[in-house]
Amino acid sequence: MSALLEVKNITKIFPKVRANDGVNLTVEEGEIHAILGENGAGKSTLMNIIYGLYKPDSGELKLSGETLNLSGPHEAIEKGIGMVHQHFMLIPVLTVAENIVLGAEPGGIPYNKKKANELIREISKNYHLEIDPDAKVKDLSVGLQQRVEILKAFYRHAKLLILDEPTAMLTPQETEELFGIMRRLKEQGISIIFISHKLDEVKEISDKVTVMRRGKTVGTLNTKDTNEQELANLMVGREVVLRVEKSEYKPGDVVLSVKDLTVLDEQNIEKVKNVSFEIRSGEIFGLAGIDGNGQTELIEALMGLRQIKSGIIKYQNSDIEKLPTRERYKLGISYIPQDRQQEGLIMKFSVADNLILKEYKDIRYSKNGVIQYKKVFENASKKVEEYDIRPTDYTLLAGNLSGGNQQKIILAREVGSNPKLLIAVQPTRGMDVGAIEYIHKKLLELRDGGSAILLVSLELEEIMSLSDRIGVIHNGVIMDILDGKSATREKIGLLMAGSQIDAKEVEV
Amino acid sequence: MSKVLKSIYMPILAVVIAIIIGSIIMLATGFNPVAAYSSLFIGAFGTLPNIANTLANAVPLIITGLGVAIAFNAGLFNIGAEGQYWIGAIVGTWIGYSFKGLPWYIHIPLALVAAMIAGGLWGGIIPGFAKAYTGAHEVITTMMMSYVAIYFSHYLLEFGPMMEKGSVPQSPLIRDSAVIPTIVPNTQLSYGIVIALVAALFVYWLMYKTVWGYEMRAVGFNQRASKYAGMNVPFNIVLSLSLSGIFAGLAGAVQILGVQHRLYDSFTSGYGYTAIVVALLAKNNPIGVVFSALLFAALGTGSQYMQLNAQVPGQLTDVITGLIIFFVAADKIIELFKTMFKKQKKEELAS
Amino acid sequence: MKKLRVVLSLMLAFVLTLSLLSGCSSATKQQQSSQSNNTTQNAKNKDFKVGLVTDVGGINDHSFNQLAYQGLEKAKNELGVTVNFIQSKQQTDYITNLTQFAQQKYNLVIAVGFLMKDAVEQVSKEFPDTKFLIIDSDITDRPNVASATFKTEQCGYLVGVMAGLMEKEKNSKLNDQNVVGVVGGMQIPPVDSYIAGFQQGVKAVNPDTKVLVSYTGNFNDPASGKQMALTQISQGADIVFHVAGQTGDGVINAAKEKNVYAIGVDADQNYMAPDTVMTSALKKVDVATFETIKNALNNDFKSGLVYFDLANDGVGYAKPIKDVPQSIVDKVNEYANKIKDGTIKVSDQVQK
Repeated sequence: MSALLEVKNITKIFPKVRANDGVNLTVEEGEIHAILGENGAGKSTLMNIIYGLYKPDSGELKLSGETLNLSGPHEAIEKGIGMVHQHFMLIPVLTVAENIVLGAEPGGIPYNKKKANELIREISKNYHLEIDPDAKVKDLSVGLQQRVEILKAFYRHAKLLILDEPTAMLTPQETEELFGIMRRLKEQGISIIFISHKLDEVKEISDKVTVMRRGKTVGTLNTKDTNEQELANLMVGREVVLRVEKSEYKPGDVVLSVKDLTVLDEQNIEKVKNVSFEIRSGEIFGLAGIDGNGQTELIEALMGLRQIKSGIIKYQNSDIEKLPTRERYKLGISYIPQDRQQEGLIMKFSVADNLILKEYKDIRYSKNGVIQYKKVFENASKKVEEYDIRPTDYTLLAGNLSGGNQQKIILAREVGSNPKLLIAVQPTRGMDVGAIEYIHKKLLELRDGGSAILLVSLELEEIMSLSDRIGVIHNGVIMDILDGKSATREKIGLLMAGSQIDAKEVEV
Repeated sequence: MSKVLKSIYMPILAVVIAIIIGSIIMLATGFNPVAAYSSLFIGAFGTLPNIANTLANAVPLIITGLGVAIAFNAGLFNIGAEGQYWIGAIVGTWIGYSFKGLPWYIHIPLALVAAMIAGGLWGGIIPGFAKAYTGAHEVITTMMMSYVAIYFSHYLLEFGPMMEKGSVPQSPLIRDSAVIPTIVPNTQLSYGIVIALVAALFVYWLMYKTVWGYEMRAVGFNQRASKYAGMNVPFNIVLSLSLSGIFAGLAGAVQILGVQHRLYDSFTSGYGYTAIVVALLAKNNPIGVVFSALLFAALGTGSQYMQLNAQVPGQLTDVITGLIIFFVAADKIIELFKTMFKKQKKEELAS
Repeated sequence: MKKLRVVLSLMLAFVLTLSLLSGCSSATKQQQSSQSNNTTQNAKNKDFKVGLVTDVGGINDHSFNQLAYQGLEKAKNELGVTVNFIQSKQQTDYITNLTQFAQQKYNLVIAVGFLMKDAVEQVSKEFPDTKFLIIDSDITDRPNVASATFKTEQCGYLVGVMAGLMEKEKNSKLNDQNVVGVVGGMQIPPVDSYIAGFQQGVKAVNPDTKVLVSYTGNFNDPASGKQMALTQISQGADIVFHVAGQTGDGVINAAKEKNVYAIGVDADQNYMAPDTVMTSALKKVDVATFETIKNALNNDFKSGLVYFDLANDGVGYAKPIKDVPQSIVDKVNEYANKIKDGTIKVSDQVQK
């Protein structure tokens, strides 16, 4: 094996940030090389440099021994570097084939459909990436769309494939499939750079792993010689507790009871169908499911952000389905929405203002319509300290804080009010190891204090490690509610995919 | 303090660059920028009457600018402040001349409040409800309503019910009891300036210290998060557009009662449009609006004096105004300059 | 940041240096020109200062403001008085600008346009020693204010005579329907006086001619002027007279497009369409301005309404294009003389 890609001492400085600071990386031919690092560690910057999107301020880039001086992605593609971005760059209304050949059509202007399809069949056969060239991209699952992106790279003769957080949007089964593909590609001599912050995946699929922290590469290890704990410590720069330590499950009274709930989406399609479940105090109820299976509509209905078609929502024994959102907050319900920047925070408000986003009308913070900023700041300085929000200047705009600290603002607001019911949707989405550890700790504290928690997550690992009971939703229906201790990954995975019968069999 | 500096630094930079480019243009066309700018300054602030006239010119800009800034704060673009100004002016004029025998302390507030209500209806209730409940874009609706207002004034003044008997399309003079008195004799500066300053303080307090302002700003920055936080988004849209119209309407009435004393037939007062620039330059801060309105008012009065004493065409101030708008709107360009200079510096260091 | 500051200050320094240089040069230029004036002109006249305040139209409006400015320039060149002008940008500038001149001890301040009536009334009261001339208005109760009033029905009459006579001619632009049209702006007395004169002029020489009269209701919308003119042309009008400010631009356009004649107003508008605008009814604001300056200079300032008519060359018609036969021009001049000597009295009331 010889080095395919060599990155030597690359530095890239943005205003105020050294995004890459003397980065070194060597990727051998036919190797799966994981890049591991927290958000903001410089992974994406590095990849964008390799892909020609950024020019490094100093340092050298070599491909097969030849120095690269890329003027843009087109040149990187020409040299055999392919990249699959986290957010796909596909045009939904075009077919698979059209998407793949877009920009490099066979035959030039008079698009030769037959030839394009032929070429794509050939490539998909060579690389074992089965797909129907005539299918419309919008009809494909996320996993298949990703496959189209990979094919796009190989249509352009990629020797090096960069996968940026490829598993973030996939179900466990799809992830397994992707790993299968990656292994086959490796056998064919393709080198893969695999970017992730998920330790278990890195451990499973990669040959080597390079860990980045604060713009620097802190080490390259042979995957088989290391373990998750070591990787996590390298990533964060300190000892990290990976295992969630959970106290005993002591459920109390029913806090939230949902009965026969049916909810429509904007197109009047039933997104939640006759759903029933209960959550007790002192319990974390995990809702597992693939994105888009009715979770959003269910949560919005619970929060009064969306009208329900039928059913009953009981909170502490009173019907709340007709109450407006604010009234539900007042009853002691808290809500961590999925998209912290669009739904949870006002990015151009200060940290202090964001901390009272739901309670500014409360007697504690305003009198006769006038906000008592002295009280607001008292609250802010208390919360900033308690939840370790950094920087500690609460007059800064929320948008100027890092993602992890933004989430802490929401956490401080929603958890800090000691809710009787917390609805947390993907609370650790996009967070790095250290922040996840912190958020999980807070959720468990709340549970032990007697609150009821509805945890919605696409991360199976998170659901399984935190939940006392797990409901699996598929296509708007709760397929089954499992006991948190005995549920297995496979069983949940199958239920998520909608296969109830198989799941039952596994149970037997 | 450094925070204040930081927030006013970009607008000031925009003004400075505009002035510098203005001087280059003057040099290129054979005028002396030092003479021009000094006479511009003297014209605006050189004597007591000049200062008074500058302040007088600032009054409608401040009040209308506040209106536009409120809407901007709520994420809405009230491009129709001009029309709301007209409606306020029409109502203010009508009450000003048609009510007899009222004492001033009833007549003036009556005219002002009626104009505010009319402006609020015109700018807020109609476009506000259209936006909140049908999604009709406020840029379109406020602008259309603006035309309706202006043409309505043409109707009223050109042989309509408000035309003064005589040859010229204009309204009768308002009664003395409705006149806001002048502060500095022989100038146009009336106590309207006090109304403008109080309005600015009020809007500042409203937007930054009250729950209503908090909500409007929240809705302005992020409707989705505001809805998620339990706020009534449509209500806030109507509220902010109404407030916006209320202030534009107030501006129209203050101008009639304090300066014009009657309504003239004209296609545009220009205040509604300049107010947009005023608000932009002020970054929608109500206190900033006062200073930015003063700047544009000074450019206005100063330019007249500049024509007279430096022989520089008054259009030059239009050029400077245009440049300021350009650099304020395009502050990204200034950012770009900054990074370019930074890069250069770094390269210099590296070499 | 530091770099930026350096660059800005360099730019500023550069500008300052240049401006000092240019300042020197322009100063010398001024001196030279004033010297040459000094040698040829009476120094006393030079002390007489005249200020002109335009309305929001500005001095390039091809109309009153421009004509007033021309009169002012003429006074500077022929009488040697010192002149200056300010262009108002908005209505609230009027008082400021008039005051500006009065404060600087200008002897005569000219306000162009009836829109400045309120402003002149106020400022003239505050500065009783300053003389004011307002164009097109009717201030009568001030000893220091002259209001220039134009007998535009007289020049309307003359172009009416010309149009009536032309209807009897034959050429490619004229049909045989014997119809002429007038497009007015707003229906206000200054517009109607023109129209009234035009109607009477046409009837005087050609009683069978039909005169179409319509108003657009504005002075600044050429599109509506064009529309109205096209309507009149479709009804047979082959000569269209406009009294509609900028709206009239559309009228002249329509005439040009449809290959008929147009008659301009206020100033000689032949330049807008040389083959189409056969003449223009002139309101000689330049003459009024110049005459008033001259009178004031000679201590002969008359306050109150000052009439400008054919007799004192305050109104008239522009030199017709060659399509108009000399015989018709002679006839028009005949009528002009009859008006001057009072044989014909022209009414300013429009015939419905």
